[in-house]
Amino acid sequence: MANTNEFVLSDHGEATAAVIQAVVNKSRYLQTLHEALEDQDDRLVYQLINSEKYAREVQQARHISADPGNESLVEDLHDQLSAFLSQKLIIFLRNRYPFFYFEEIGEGQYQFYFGNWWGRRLFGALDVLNVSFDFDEVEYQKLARTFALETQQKRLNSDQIEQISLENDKLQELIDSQEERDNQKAELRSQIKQISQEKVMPWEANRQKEEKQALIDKLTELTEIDESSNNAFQQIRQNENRILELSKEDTLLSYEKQSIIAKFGSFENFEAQNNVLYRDYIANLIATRGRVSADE
Amino acid sequence: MNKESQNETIVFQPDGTSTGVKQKAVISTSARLQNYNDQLKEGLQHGISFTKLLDQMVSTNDPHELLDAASKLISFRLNTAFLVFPQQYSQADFYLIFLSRLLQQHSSDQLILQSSDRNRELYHEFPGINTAGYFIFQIDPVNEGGAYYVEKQTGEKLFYLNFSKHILKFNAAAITSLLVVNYQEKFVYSTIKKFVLLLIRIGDFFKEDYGFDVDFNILDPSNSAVYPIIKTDLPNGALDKLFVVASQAGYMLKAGNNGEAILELKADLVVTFGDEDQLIGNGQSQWAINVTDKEEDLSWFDIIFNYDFIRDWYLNNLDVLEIQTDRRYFN
Repeated sequence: MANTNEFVLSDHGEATAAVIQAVVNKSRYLQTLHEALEDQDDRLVYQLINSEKYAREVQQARHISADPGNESLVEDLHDQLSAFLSQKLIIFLRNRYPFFYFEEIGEGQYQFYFGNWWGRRLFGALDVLNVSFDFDEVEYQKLARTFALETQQKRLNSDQIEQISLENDKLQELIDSQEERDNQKAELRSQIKQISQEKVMPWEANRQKEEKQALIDKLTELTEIDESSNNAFQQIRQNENRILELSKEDTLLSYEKQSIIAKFGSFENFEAQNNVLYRDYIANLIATRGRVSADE
Repeated sequence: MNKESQNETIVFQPDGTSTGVKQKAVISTSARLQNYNDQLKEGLQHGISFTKLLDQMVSTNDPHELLDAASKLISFRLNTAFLVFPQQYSQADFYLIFLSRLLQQHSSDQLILQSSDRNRELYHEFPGINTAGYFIFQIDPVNEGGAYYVEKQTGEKLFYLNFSKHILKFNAAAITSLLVVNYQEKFVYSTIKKFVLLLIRIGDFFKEDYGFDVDFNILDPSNSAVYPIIKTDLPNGALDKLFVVASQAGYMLKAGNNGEAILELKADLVVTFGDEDQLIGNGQSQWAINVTDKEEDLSWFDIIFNYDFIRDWYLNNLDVLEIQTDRRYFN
């Protein structure tokens, strides 16, 4: 006997059909991903894990009808997917960006250095799933600034190096002029002594006192210069180290700049290339049917 | 002789001996003459054995006989109490003669043995660089059988030789200051290289003929040679400087995969800076320099002689970079 006081519940048959459909959807999604992985079809993997980005950047679709729900199924597999996708991607990047050197720092995690030269800078991390570079902001800005300074024929640290070099010249002068100061001090001391011993009329006492004070002031001034001269050696050494650091940085930046010009012609082209990297890479996967090779 | 005639009293013991008492015989004039004569003969005989050794040294074609004669002559005291030879070669001279003979045995006549009447000494000169100085041996005052091969004008000790210890050790500091800094201004590379090749040959003769332990130091052209620097650990500041000056000279100091620094000067000529393990995989963390070239005939010496920016960098940073020498013999 049916209890008529009960609410009307939805039909179990429909619910069954709906949930099965949903599971089948997910299952199909996973099945497709599974096959793509088996087939080494990196392009399809990219499409499956971020259909919205794929539609926007590759298909340049205006209305995106992606269903990101399935994509969250593999969210916890991102590191593993990244590890899978990195192989072809890094081969591609080595060709496009021959000056970036990629280092694996964990499963699917890569950082890269700019150049193979001594003291090369760690330049950022590679975002494999988005096919993009996460540049180290500080280092990137230095490079950008180096290009900006090109028109002035200057390096990033030219001004600073010049300024410190000037300071060092002055400090060296202080050291070199020590003997001269010693002579001046001896002269002043003997003058002071002379004045102290002079007998003068009372009405001249004030003038004498003033003269003596002037000499003492001058002596104090010289002694103060002596003190800064004593620290000059150490300061010069510190400045030299600073100049070395700055010159090293300028040298690094000049190599980086040369590398970019050799490959891209200009910094603008380099940046433009970076902005379309995802699309470019997918297009490359399509063109080569996934057979990315180092000597492409 | 006077002493011997002042005889002490001899005490004869009941058992016929004279134990415990210094005994001096009473000698007659004839016995005294006899004794003198005997001493002279002995001295002459001693002199004759000396001349035999000298003959051996001058004429033998066998390297071992040569070394044997030289070793004996170096410690030979020709004079006796009764016989003094006024014209004698010094110990150091015998090292020079020995070295000349050794080269002669190997048909090398590049080092010329000269004698100076003014200074009453023998010396070596090397054609091409003889305008700048000449070479002698200086006896090691500490270790027996040892002597330094020294450039007389500058006092630079190029190598140390010891017959008793069977060693020959080149001195990086002297080679740098004499052959690189000093001669670099006066002579062309090919001239100095000839001299260096001769020094290396000398080392090889000692190694091959006598099995000496020879340390070629910065002259060693082998690709497996590593030149350890005086500091144990990695001098990053010094490498930064090299990075900058190399760039100015048109060379790039590169980073190796294991943290070493690599300077490729031209195809088939590479200088590497790193710890010994990075350079030759021997597990040692001592910091060192390696020079690799296709023909294996260049060493650190050649690099600092020929590349101005490396030489300046090396000389300006000797406090950390100086190549080690054996401190037991060079200070």
